[in-house]
This record gives sequence, C-alpha cells and structure tokens, in this order.
Amino acid sequence: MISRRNLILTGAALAGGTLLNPPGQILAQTPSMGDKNVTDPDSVQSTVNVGNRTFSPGKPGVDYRPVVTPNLPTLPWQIVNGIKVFHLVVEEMWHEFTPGLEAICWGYNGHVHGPTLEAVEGDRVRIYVTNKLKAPTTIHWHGFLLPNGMDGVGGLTQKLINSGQTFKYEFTLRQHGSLMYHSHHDEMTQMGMGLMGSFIIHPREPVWDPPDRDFVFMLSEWRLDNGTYRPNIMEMSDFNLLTFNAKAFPGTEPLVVKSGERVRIRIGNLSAIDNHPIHLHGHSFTVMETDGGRIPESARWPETTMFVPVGTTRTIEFVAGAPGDWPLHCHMTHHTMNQMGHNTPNTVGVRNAAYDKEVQKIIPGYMTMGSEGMGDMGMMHMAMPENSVAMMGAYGPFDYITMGGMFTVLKVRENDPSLKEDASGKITDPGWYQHPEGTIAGPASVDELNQDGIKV
Amino acid sequence: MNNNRCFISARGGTKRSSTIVGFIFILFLVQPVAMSVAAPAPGADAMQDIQNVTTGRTGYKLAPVNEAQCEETIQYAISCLLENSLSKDEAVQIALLNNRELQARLADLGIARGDLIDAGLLKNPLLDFLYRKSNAPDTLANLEWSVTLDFLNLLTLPLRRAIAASEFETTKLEIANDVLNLAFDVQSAYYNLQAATQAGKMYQAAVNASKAAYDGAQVLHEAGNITDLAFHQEQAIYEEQKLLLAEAETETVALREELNMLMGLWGNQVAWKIPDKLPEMPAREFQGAGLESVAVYQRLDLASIRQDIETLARESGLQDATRLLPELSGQFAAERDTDGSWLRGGGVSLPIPLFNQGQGRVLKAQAKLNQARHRYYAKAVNIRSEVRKAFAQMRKNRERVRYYDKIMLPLRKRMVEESHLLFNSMDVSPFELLASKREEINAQRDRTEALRAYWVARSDLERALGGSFQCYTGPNSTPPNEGSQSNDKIRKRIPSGDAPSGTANPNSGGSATGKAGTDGSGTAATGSVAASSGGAI
Repeated sequence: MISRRNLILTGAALAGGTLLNPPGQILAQTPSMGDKNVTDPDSVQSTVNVGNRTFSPGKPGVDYRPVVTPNLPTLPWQIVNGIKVFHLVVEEMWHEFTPGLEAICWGYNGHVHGPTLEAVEGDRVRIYVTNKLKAPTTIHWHGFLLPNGMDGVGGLTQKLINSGQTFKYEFTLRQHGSLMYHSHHDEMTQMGMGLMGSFIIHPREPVWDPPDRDFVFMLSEWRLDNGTYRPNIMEMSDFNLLTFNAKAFPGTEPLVVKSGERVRIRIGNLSAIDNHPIHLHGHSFTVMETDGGRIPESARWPETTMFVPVGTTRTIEFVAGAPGDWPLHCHMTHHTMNQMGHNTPNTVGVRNAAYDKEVQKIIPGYMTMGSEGMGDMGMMHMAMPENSVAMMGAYGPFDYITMGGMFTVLKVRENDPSLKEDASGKITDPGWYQHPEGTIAGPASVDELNQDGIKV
Repeated sequence: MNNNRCFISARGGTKRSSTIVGFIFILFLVQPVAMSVAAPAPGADAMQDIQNVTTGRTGYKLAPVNEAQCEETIQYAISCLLENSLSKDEAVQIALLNNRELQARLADLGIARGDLIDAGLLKNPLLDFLYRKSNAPDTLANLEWSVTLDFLNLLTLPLRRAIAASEFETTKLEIANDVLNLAFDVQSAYYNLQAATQAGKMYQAAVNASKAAYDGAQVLHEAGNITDLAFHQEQAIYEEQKLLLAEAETETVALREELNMLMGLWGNQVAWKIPDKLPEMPAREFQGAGLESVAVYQRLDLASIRQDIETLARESGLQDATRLLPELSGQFAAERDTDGSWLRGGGVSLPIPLFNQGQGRVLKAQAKLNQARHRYYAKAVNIRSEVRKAFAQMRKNRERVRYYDKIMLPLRKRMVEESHLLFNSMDVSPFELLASKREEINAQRDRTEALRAYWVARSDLERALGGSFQCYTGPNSTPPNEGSQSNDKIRKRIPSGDAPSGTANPNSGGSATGKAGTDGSGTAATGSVAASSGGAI
C-alpha cells in the first residue's frame, strides 16, 4: 500500500513540479494556514465605498464571530488599500477521507474541500486564483450578487484559467449569508474531484442575536471504489462516499458546544445529485436562512431534520440543550454507510452455514456476509481491499457505532474550565460523554419485567 | 524386469539347417552344402542385431519372435508390470513385449531370411526324360535323357547373394525403425493420457467451484432473495461445467484405449492405473547443438534408404554384367536309339543379343538407383526439419509452462485473493468470486496442456533423433549396453567425426551413397543393422 501510494504520489509531485513559478503569480507563495490566520485588523486604515455607505474591512471578533469549519481551516487574508485580498491556489493533492481511506483529489491551498472564506457585508474582496492543475478551471461565487463578469462561469462570463495562470476576481459583498464557491468548468470532473468550499459573509450589523458558536459544513458525494486511489468522476448516480467537509465518519470532527449556548450551523450542499435531509438528535431547531437570504420569521417553523437540496445552503439555529453526544447526520440510510459495495445479492435471511463450509473447501476463509443484516460488518475485521473503509463505523463508548459517511456528533457539555477553546471559538474534543447514573438504557432485569407485567 | 532373462538366453534357438537335395551334379552340391553346415544360416543373428539396436536406442528389451515357450513368462512379466501404478517406461516395455502388430512385423524378418537363403542357392538343374516306342518290330524303346543347368546362374551367384544380403539389411533397418516408432508412439500416448487424467481432476475442481456457486444461488433463491433467472444462470454454469467434465472423461477413455491397443492389452489386463500427474520438466534442458547431424547419423529409416541405394547399386551392377547375356545354360544329353545305341553329348543355349541388348533393364536399374538417391536426400532434409521443429516446439512449450508458473498462475491466484477482498467489501458477489476461482483452475488446466505439449514435443524430438535422450550421450560415446565387436567395426566404417558434424549436405551422415554402385563385391553388405545405421547410439 505504501509503495503504491508513493508511486502515485511521485506522479503527482512530478505533475506539480512543472507548475512551479507560474507566470502571473502575484503573491510570492500560498498563504500559510498557521495559527495567525488573519492580518491584524488594527493595521487597516483605508475604507471602501459601498453604494452610499463607506465601510472599513470587517474585523473578526469585532465585526463578527468567526465560523468554525470542522476539519477545515479558514483562509487567511490581508488588507491592501482597504481591500481584503485572498489567494486561492487550485491543485491536486492527497486527501484523507477517514483513517484508512485516502485518494488523490483536487482542492484549494492544500485542502479538500477548500478553506472557508470569511468576510463581512460591505467588504471589497479581491481573490486571486492560481491554477496549478493541468486542466483549466474557474471559480464561481455561488449565490453572490456581483458583476456578471465576476460570476466565474467558464466560457460564458470569462476565459478559462489555464494551467499556470492566475486570475483576479474583485467585487464588493452586497449581502450577508452562507454562500459557496466551486469550479464552474467541467463540473462533473472538477466538483467530483472536490473543487468547492464555503464562503461566509457576516452581516455588517447584527440582524439578530449573534450565535455563541457558528459552524459551517459542505455536503458532497464521491465515487471511490474499494481499492482505488482516485475518485471516479464518471459516476453519475451511484455514489458510495458521502461526506461532511470532505470527511466521512469516523473521520468527521465533532461539534463541541456548551449547554445553553446559541448555536448556528450552516450547511451547503454541492453533491452531484443527492439532496440530504440533515437530522439533529436531541434538539429542535429553526431554519433561519438559505443562500438566498433570511427567511421571514413568519415563514419559519421548528424542525429536527432540514432538507438541503443540491446547490443550496441552509442555516439553522438552536439553543444547545441537554449535555450529551448528539448525532448530526443525513437521514438517508445509505448516506451513513461507507464504501461497502452494493453488488452482492441480498443475503438477509439466507441459511448459509452448510453452504459456507462447502465453499471454504474451495476458497479458504469464505464467509457469507449479511445474512443477519450489515450490523456486524465493521466488527468482523475481515480482510479488506487496500485503501478502503468498506465497512461502516467505529467503536463508541458502549459498542460499535454502525454509522459512516455523513455522520458527526454534536457534543453538548456543561460549561467546564477544562474545555479548551481556540481564538475562533472551536472547543477541543472533550471525549465521550460521561452519563449520570441511571440515565443509560440497559438490559431490563427480571424483577423490572415482572413488576411492569412485561412478558418476553 | 527380472523375467526378461528368458528372452535373452533363448535367443538363437531357431537355427535351421538347410536341407538341399541335389542328386545329379555333386559339383553343384559342394558349395551350398558346405555353407549350410560350416557357417550359421544367413541372417541367423538378425534378431539379435535388432534387439541390440532398439535396446541401445531406447533402453527397452524386445521380445523375440517364435519363442512359444517364453509366452507364459512374457505374460507373467506383463502382469507384474501392470500390477502397480504403470509408469511410462513400463508401458513402453509392455508394448515391445506384447504388441502383436510388432510381433507380426518381427515375423517379416523370418520371411526376409527365407528370401536371403533362397538367393544363396543355385537354380536347380532341369531333367528331361523322354520315352518313345517305335511301331517297327523288334525295336527298342527310344529313351532320351537330358540335364540342363543355368550356367549364368552359377556365375552371378555371388552378385545375387550380395543383393539379397543388402535387401535383408534394409528389412532389418525398417523393422528396427518400426520398433523405435512403436516405443515413441507409446511414450506420446502415455503423456497424452497422463495429461488428460491430470486435466480431468481440474475439470472436476471447476465443477466443484461452479457447484458451490450453484449451491449459494440455491440458498439465496430459497430465501427469496434472488430471481429465478439469477438462480438459473448459476445452474447453467454448473451444468455446463459438468458437460465439459463428461467431454474430458470421454476423451480420456479414447486415450486410454489408444494405449491399450499399443500395449496389446485386453480382458482383465486393462484395469491398470497411471500416476495422474505429468512429471515436471527437467531442470536442465537437452542442448540442441549438432542435433540435426545426430539425427542424420542415427535415423534408421534414413539408413534403410541408404541400404536401398546399396542394393540398387548392386542390382544395377548385375544388370550391367548380364546385359548382353541374361541367360546361359548348358545341357548334358543322352539318347538310346531304337537299335540300342547311345548318343551322348552336351550343348549350350544362349540368347543372341540381336534385338534386346538389355538397354531397358540397365536403364531401369540406374533410374531406380537415382530415384533412391533422391529419396535419401529428401528424407535427410525432412529429418533435419523434424528435428528443428520438435526441438523448437519443446523449447517453446517449456517457455509456455514457465510463463504459466511465473506469470499466469500467480496472477490468477492473486485475482482470486483480490476477488475475495472485494467480496468481503461486498463489491463482488460470491458468484464472481467463485468464477474467479474457476478461472484459476482453468489456468492450471491450461498449464497442464502446455506441459503435455512439452513432453509430447520432447518425445517427438527423440523420435526425430532416432533414439531416446537417456540413451544418448554424445555422437562418439558408447551406449551402456553396447560395445560388441561388430559395433567397433562399424565405428571404423563410418567415421564418427564426419556424420554428426555435417552441416551443408543433408546426406553427410551417410558414407554408403554411390560407392556401392561401383563396388558390387558384396562384402560391404554383410554388416549388422547397426553397421548400416551408425551404431554408436
């Protein structure tokens, strides 16, 4: 496996090597993703005119509370003459979906999907896009109100950004909300390979109580066959890897919040064809916004599952309730599986014991799977093709969690000084929830059954 | 093999004395009688020659002809050979002892010997007796006696005897060649059967694999999880594999009977078993250098044509010598006249070569000689081609087998393992997994076929070379069971350095061509089979 990976990597490195020092590259190098993710806002002097009003570039912690993008960073920027300058570099790279499963994907600035861009309504942004792919590309700013020539549609509103070229997009943000960016050239391939990201525009002035925690997710889907190392972009409908921010459970980071906090979760969907009903356990929430804007209060209703169609975003808000580990997942059952193939006959209910023995004479180690369903799959530890997480899940605090794909955990904790929080408001994973005595479902005792008149 | 003593010790029991009744001219009796008494009958050791050559070339013993007392011993020996698992060597040995076609062929030796003996005898004199009675009174009956002897027959006796001896040599060579061919036929048939037996096991394994898939389809079908069509698809594959197995078994029966025929077995003798696995290839291959020359030197069928040339050269010489005078007879006659007086005298009769001066006969004999020379050349060319073909096929098939070992079989094995992994990840069905296993089995079967082709090509090469590898140790070496005086003599006669090294001339293995045409003395024709064929192998 190592050797094969190295082999493929060598090819990727060689391909990348030809793109060093592309002509027209403005910034000396890709901005680093280190801790200092923003330029000191105090150094900002200039202002920008937007319509009749003039704003200075929005400052994190001052003008907005930064979002947390689980598993992904936020793209740093610098202010030049009052304009927020970003630099996206499109390139091929290895990406790990979850431990044991990686592939050569396309992304931005070393990440799949791209880092989250964050700005404030009224900011003037200048975004340089350097193409280090061999293929041409563009970036479309999904849901943005901007000049048509900045819309990023290859061929229609601009020339393609050819390999080695750097293009400049520049526009003023005239709205706020949860928006997205993605390639708008050969989408089947380029989005299938991962070229997408989130773009959050905070309101210049809070339109309602700002949240205590603000998260953003991008939903996407892939075809990555067991034992292969590159997403199969030819797939049209039968996707086998479904991800939150390009991670499949158990590779997804948990969302850690404190009980009683106001939590906002923004979810965009750039899957190829699938809409996702995203369900949150233990809470009722309200859908506050789409990528089209704020939903009037009169049109909102409480929900536990929010439907996120392809090409839209939804923003939900709720107050973190009871402490615990609450799943947040797509409610389509096959979307919480990992790569397990679907090419075998249904074996549920099959009496296979005698048959298995016969086959084992011909193929040692043969075992019919799934005759009692797929629940045991993850624990069987059967030999798997290399680079695959065919069987779902991971071990949880009690048992095996038979979930994969679009699944993560909202960890609600009492406020505790041991919880560590970084500048963006991201709390380090505190581990599994410790349940109070008597609050966990368990086997019923005979006495209990008798007492309640339950016959089994 | 202990019972073979019988065949060796019993040799020579067929000594026949020739009885010739001559009662007119003692003179004419002297030579043939002296020959039949003082020397063994001509061709008496021919069988031994054939045995020496064929044993020397193959390592196997040959059953003697006309050894009725040994029949029981031979049958006992055969039953011993059949008792346990029958090896290739044992099969060849049984065929050489028991194939009645071969025994019939060996009987040709006796027929040829009869011709040889006849050729050594003079034409019997012709006695005429006439009795006539006159109707005149007091007269005696007229008696007329005459004895006629073909004089020319007497003069050409040595020539004709040499021709007959040469023809006899040809027959010996042809018979010995047939013995070798039988041995190689058995060898090839044995490999074919052994390969079919081995492949049969693989057909069975493929049936087992398809049965497993069929059984799996059955439990899925019973559970209501797959369609009738999906179930029947697996059944069809299973039934197909069973039919393939049946076809293979039918073929095996035919191959087994071929071997039964070659070994001359019937009745309760046909229950023999052979090891069901072909031998693996020897680690080191027989080297090809100089093989064409070895074949030209060794091949008995080529030697028999060479012997033909010698015969026809002598025949041509005879026709030349008797061209003008094909017949010459002398007559002694006595007549008693009616008056009782006797007239005695003699005379000769001969044709006057006025019209037929023997041109036709001479031309015909020369044409036949010329024809034989072309045949000899053609045969040598063909032999060289046979050697190249068999050697190349042996090498190619060896590479094929090695390729299966190094590439194809590991690949198929790996594909089964990979299918198993993808089966575990539910990417392939159990049917695909078992199909992959079936492909692996098929590859093993194909490898068996390549190995069979190797052994048959190897056997063909031995046939093309005119002798087994095991008995070949190089053009100049002496095989283990030889070394008799006659063979030493032969090595002097045929320069061993000449024949095997010949390259440009396909006849380079032969030294008898043309020379005998002017020879005619007949002395060169008295060698053994080995003599005419280069007995070093």
